[in-house]
This record gives sequence, C-alpha cells and structure tokens, in this order.
Amino acid sequence: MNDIIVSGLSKNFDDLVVLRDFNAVFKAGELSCIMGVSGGGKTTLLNILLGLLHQDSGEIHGLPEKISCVFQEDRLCEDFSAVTNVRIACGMDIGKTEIEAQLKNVGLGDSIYRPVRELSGGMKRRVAIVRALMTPSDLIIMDEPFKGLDDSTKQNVVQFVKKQIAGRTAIMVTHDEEEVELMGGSLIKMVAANK
Amino acid sequence: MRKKSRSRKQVIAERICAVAFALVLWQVVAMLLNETLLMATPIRVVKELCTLIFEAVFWGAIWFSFKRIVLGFFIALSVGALLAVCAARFHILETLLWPFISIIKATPVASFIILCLVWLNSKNLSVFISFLMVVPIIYTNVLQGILSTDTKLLEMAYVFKMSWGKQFVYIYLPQLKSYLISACSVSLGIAWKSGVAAEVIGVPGGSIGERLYQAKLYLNSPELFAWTAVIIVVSVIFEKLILQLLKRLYKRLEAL
Repeated sequence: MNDIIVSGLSKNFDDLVVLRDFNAVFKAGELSCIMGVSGGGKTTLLNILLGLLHQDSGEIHGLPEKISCVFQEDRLCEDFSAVTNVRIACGMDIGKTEIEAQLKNVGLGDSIYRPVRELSGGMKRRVAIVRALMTPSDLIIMDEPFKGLDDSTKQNVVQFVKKQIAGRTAIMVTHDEEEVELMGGSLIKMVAANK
Repeated sequence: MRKKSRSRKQVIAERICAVAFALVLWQVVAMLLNETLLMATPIRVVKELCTLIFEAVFWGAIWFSFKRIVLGFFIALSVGALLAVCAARFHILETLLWPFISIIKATPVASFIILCLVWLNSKNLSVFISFLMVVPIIYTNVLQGILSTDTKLLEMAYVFKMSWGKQFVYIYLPQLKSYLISACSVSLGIAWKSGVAAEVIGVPGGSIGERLYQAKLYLNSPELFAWTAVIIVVSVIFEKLILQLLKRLYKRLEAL
C-alpha cells in the first residue's frame, strides 16, 4: 500500500477553471477528509481519481487499481434489492449471508429484499455505503456519504464506516466539520480555483 | 388500492359500453342499408363465424397465418434488438442503417409486398413482410432505450468493474423495459396487419389472406367481416400473451 500523491493537478471545463495546480498526499491506510466551498472542485478531483475524468495537467502517483466509491448520488439499480445491489458490485466471492448481516448492521432490517426504488432516501444511502465498503478495494472514495441521514442513523452509520475503513486508504468529501470530527483522519481544505 | 381497483372496473365497464354502442350502431347502419352484399349485420357475422369454426379449413387457415406472422415477428424482435445493441456500440452502424430504416418506415407496405412477390414465393411472403414492418419499430425503440441509459449508472458500473453481462442484466434490461413493451405493443398489431395484407395480395393457398380474398371476390360480406373479426381476436390475444410474458420475465429478473 502506497501513499497517493497528487501534484499540480488542473482541470478546466471550457473557460471554467475547476482545479488549478492542486497538490495533496493521501496517506496509505488512513482516512483523508476533503472540505471546501461548493464548486471548489472536490467532486471533479474524485472523478479524476476514479478515472471518470482526465486532468488537463498534473500527475497522480500511487493510485491503486481497485477503487470503490460512495457517489454523491446513490447510483443504485432501482429495480433490484439492496442485497442484489451490493452483490453485483462486490462480486460473488462475498457470501449472501455476510451481505445481509452488513445491511442489517446499518439498520436496513427487513427491507433488504425489497426493490431499492421502494426504500427511503436514507435507506438507499446506506445501501450505497455498504456496497462501497463491502467491495474489495485498495481505496475507498466517499462523496458526502452521510448526506440525507437523520442524526441518530448518522451516528450508527458513522461507527459502521469507521470500523469498516480502519486500516484502509479512504478519501471522504464533506461540507460538515462535525463529520470530520466524528470520522477523524487528516483534513485537506480546498479553495476555489477561480479565486 | 381499493380506489385503484374500482377505477379499473369502471374503465372495463366503460369499454364494454363503448363496444356495445359500436355493435348497436353497426347493426342499425347495416339494417338501414339493408344490403348484405355491402354490409353484413353483426348478428349475421356471428352466425357466419359459428359456421366457420366447425370447419377444419378455418383452423388450418388460422394456423397457417399465425405461425408465419409470429415467426416474422420473433425474427424481427431478435434482429431489431441485435442491430440496436450494435448501433448503440458503434455509431457508424447507426449512421449506415439510418437510410434503410427511414426507407422501410416511409414505404407503403403494398409496394414491398408487390416487390417481394417477384423474389419470394407467396407462401412465405407474410414472414418476410411482417419481419420487415416490425424491424424498424423494435430497432428504433431499443436503440432509444439504450442511448437514454443513465450515464451515472454506467459510471458506477465502470468504477465497480462490473462485467458486460452484469451491466446488461442489471442496468440495460431494466432501462429497456418500457421501450420493449411499447415496441412490442405497437409492432404486434402491425405484424398482423402487414402479414395478412401480404397474404391478400400474394394469395397463398390455405391462409387467412386467401379466405379474405375469396370472400371479397364472391362479395361474401358476412365471411369477410367474420375473418376480419378473427384476425382482430387472434392479434389481440397474441399481443396480450406476449406483453404478459414480457412482464413476467421482468418480474423474474427483478427477483434475482
């Protein structure tokens, strides 16, 4: 496991500068929290790390091949159950009972075999979190993972996430300083590139 | 839930009333014309049907046309879907297919039937004509369905390194559900209309089209109406069966 080193990363969308000469080191086996203003390029940075976007300039070293992600939106297959959604992402090596147990750990209880479209926003969010955490990966990226969770559920899910990512390299984007405190890890503050 | 089922009952009742009204209107117009050669009454048509169903030729004609038109439909369903998948993957193919699909859509079915009679024997003409009329509908709908797939889900599949098979089953197939159902619903009727039209022009022995043609030739209006009713009934039953089958397949898929 290596540190992920980002150096001189820049990205423009036509005339809009989203990232300008961004540098950071994401420590191996640790959680790095990224905070910054809206439109500051946080999601763009994650998309570059995920291989969904290409940077205009700059380099990334030490990026592993296996990456899992909690996207800003849930991005679930709505017609299928929570168990199926987790299973199709994490592969058949992980048993159904293990998936069921983890989904129950985040309070999904009897809803794990209902089509995801019938679940509430908070429940869908938890399915997306379990999917990312159960998928074997060397880097976990989480874009505002606790968005839409009520306070009591959030406490439970935070504990679950902390336990699951212990010893794994993880990057979390958040707007909430309280979440950074709850999760621990190092903090990277991003400033808007066009300022 | 109760409210929904009541409203469905209401819809069925309204439709039954509409059909009854149409039948009464037909009966009145036919009685006013008082000319069986021009228009048979519904009662006369029902009597004709009752006579026909006891003839072996009747069921033979239905089977002859049914197997050919259904075969044409299923070939079109497979070919249209396959072409759409390839066109979605390779844009050049979509461009190359565009003139063919546009021409097939715009050309009158009678032109194709007459043209194809030069190349094919009339016995199997209905297979090709129903295939030709259905292919563009299936192709266009499936292609539209694939192209409108949520790119965010495809990005998720890329990140989680989901195989092509998994993407097909869990992302594309659910996305295609409404497109496939609507394409099948439209094209099944068209398959029957074009298939029977091909038979009426090609007059293959032992087909529904031949019976229709002969009824017209001998000015046998009750038989003409009776065969038309048969075509409508068989076409509607087959459409309902296929749509039910598709819905069941999707239910099984969701239970995976």
